[in-house]
Amino acid sequence: MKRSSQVALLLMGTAGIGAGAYAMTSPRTDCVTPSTPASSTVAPAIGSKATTEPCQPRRSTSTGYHYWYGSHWSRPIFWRSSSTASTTPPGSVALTSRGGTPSSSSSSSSSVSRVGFGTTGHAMSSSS
Amino acid sequence: MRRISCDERADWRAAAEQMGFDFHTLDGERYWDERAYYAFTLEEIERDLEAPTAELDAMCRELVSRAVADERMLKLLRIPPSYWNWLATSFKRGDPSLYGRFDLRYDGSGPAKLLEYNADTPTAVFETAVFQWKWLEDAKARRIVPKDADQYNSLHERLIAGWQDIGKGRRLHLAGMTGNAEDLGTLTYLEDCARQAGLQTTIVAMEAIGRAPRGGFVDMANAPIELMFKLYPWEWMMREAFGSSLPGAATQFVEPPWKAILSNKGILPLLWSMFPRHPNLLPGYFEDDEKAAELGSSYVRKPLYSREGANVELVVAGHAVDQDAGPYGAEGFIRQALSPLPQLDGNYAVLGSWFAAGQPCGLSIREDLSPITKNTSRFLPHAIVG
Repeated sequence: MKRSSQVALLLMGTAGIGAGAYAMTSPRTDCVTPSTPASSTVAPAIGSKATTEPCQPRRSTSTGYHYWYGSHWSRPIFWRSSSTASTTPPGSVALTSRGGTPSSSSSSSSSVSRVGFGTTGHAMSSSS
Repeated sequence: MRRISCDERADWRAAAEQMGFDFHTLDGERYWDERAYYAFTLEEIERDLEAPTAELDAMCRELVSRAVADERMLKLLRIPPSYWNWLATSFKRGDPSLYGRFDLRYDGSGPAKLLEYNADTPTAVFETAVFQWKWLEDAKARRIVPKDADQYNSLHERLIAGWQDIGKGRRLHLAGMTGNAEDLGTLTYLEDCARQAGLQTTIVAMEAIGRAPRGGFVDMANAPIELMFKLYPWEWMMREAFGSSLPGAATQFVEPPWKAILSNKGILPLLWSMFPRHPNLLPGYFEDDEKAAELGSSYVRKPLYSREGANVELVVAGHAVDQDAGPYGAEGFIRQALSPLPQLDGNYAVLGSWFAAGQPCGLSIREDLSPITKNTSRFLPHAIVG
């Protein structure tokens, strides 16, 4: 079935979605992982049936908090991630930089204006 | 296409929340609903949904190519003239699109009909790409669906592929109404996909976007925004205080500016005029077009700009039988031939057919007791079972 082949791609696609454990499939062992930097976290064992086919991203294993992410194991990104989010509650927009010194190409904080987008969205939210 | 009742997982709410799907319940009502699922045959998926979705996308691109060379079309769509060159440049430059969702009327027989195209800010992406797939895996284990059941769903992979193509390793800012749980959930999921594609990411609230003295956009750290995904309608951005700086900004936007042409119900009559009697289109006309009378006294009235069914009105024999309130309609309306949604077990169902990174790639289904699909309409999973 055509869809099965797509799902195979899906099954080999990275999910790692969520902070919890989601065992979508068992780990794939018939592939070769690229050399992994020493700084990487735990790498999956390579099965004896390894082929020259490179490992593809796949869904998480039962270890939960890690997922196969291309050439290395990684913490899941999704949800309340450690991104450099600069979300600001409505009405409390900070007008200066946050989270460190602006890069050399940054604009001067004193000359930057804000709250020029989002007004319609807030108006819609407050009216609904 | 069948609607099959089934037992829900006892712990699905906890599973959803553990995955970050906090908006599974909206205003105390179910949004995610797995008390039933929709079953399709592979033929229905491939012949009736996947192939038409690819064709509709091609038709929409043809529409844009004509619109950027024909200001009459842009006027009909009520796009402010100060943005026309910018939209045209964006399209001619080939600014890439990440995704979109075609909402279709389909009942398992006959061709699917385009109801509208969510070209700019489609949501329901996480529940389609991830939680629906999780449901299928569990449904197989629980023998709710056959072991060989499948799902029309490679949306997750397409989004990652799309970010790889678009991002090319750059930093991506994802902007939206971060105080809204659903919007933040969507942003965070797309951020996840972008990270998997190798991009560095920053989520930023719309109101926190800064404008530097020379007109460029910056984030909260005053760093230039080179690449921005925005879960915020183009028509709003164009009309807000910083809108005038959009054409001159160095920022690359996703969805691209030319998608503003497609995120407009006015494309429905334009597509009908370009591709008359196409099997996947419904007759449609601008309300002030005398040809609108050809629809008779029964039709669907839609504002040019509208989200989640707001201000949509069903008119039957000259009487409005259903309508959803909202703030839209100032720019005008279109009329589309009435093609009632299929009713299964008392529920009206609309199909959302996803297109991402250049391919049709997934399906979402929304149900409501009302024939107008709204932001509160329930999301049901689907499976391919034959």
